[in-house]
Amino acid sequence: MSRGLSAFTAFAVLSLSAPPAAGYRLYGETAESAFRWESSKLPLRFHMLENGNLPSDVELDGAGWAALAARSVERWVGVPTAEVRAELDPTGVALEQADASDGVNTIGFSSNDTFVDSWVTAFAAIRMDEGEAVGCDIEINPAFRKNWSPQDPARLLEVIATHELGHCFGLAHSEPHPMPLWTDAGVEVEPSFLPDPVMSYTNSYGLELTEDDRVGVSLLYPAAGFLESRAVVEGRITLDGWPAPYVYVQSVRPGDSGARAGPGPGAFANEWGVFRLEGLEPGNWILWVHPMLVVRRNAHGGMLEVAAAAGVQETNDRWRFVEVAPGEVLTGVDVRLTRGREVG
Amino acid sequence: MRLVRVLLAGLAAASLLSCGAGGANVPSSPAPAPPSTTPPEPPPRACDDVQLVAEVFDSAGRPFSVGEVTLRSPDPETAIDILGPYTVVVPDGGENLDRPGLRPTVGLFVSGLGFERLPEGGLHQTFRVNWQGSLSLRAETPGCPSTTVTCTAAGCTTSG
Repeated sequence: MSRGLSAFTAFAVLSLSAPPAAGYRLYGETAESAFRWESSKLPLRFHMLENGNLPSDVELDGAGWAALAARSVERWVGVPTAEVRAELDPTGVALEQADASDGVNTIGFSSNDTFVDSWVTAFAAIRMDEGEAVGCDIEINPAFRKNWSPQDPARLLEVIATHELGHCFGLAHSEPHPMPLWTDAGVEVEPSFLPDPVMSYTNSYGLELTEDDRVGVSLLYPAAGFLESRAVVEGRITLDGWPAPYVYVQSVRPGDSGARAGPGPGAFANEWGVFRLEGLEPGNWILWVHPMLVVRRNAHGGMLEVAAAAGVQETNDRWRFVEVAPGEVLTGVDVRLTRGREVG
Repeated sequence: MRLVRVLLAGLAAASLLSCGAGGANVPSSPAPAPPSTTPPEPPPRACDDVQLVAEVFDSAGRPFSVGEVTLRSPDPETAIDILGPYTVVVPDGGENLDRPGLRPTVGLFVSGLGFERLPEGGLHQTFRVNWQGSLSLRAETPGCPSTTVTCTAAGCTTSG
């Protein structure tokens, strides 16, 4: 496979193995400063790769794959609180354009043997040229099933495509919802906790974007009135008086006034334990503060090691309650964690 | 500066006391300073009003214990710590599951969340819990001793 990169082109690969730049769930600590595409580059037009390298163990032909990719794009475009402009061009492009900083955005299955043999399921690479994003290429491992045990491989493939497109738009990894979500163990579970965010590393995946996904992309490409209608909560998380790096703050509606309960958006604290949770609807919220749950090596990169070294992975989950108004920035919401999580 | 603080505190107290009297008792001149120059202690927190209680329902024949938890606190900064259980191994299979053993999450299942905001920002939170083994939750309120409730299938005990 040709890499096709100009020696004069700087590029950054925002792959599954890369942590967010500052521990937030976007590529930046705040929505205002995070990476996003300039409006002049929109709509992002994706082309299908013509390499005939469809996975052999999934019932999927070229037309089916194109339809799957188109649905994945539409899932983001259809977020009502965002103005995500993207489209899938049915015109295929040659394999050489999969990895080139040519301004052509591609989505397809990799033919790179090293990649196919690796543990990586897929990646999205945002190509940068002199600090400016010029393209995003998505490559999916045709052997994508090997890291998973899906009952419906085509469904998993659609989740993967949607997930990688989220990276192209500027979303980093979030976390799954903070409860085990057995569906067949005879337990009562708040149904709104299913499924996990598409942008998380999940074992409970759904095809629809969750509120966490929708809010994330809306923070980057807000529809008119979105930001003014939402609130922000800021604070610092500590353990034994020291910053608690990369703790996750998951908002949960507490079920007031008969309203539905369940998870809203979440955000990581940065390496100093400072968090900024944006995009909250007005009202009451539980902040369910917990350590990183996904401990696979490629989920959050070096964040896990930093958090573990600080003892954060041994902390108990804590619920803190807040109430916010439209447009409010609630500051000083400090959370003191305690040790005692017994993780076997 | 200290005297000013005392004076303001005195005015606030007077205003509160006069609420039920239609303002008739609002002093027309500043309230006299108390004889001591020591600032008054802040009003004691209503620590006794922070309640974390749980009850276990009859869970005979079920693999999980079932209970309901209620937190009631006049302090909006009261928090709940989940002390246990943790680390449920996610089983293989199931419609939405694709990889077992992925998450070191809490080992409890929450449902039926109900919330009410009390006057002065207090809170009243209820929720139902399914768990295996021993459930342990702690309510922490700044300036107050913590309260821990521990439940097994046989019942719950509260300490603190």
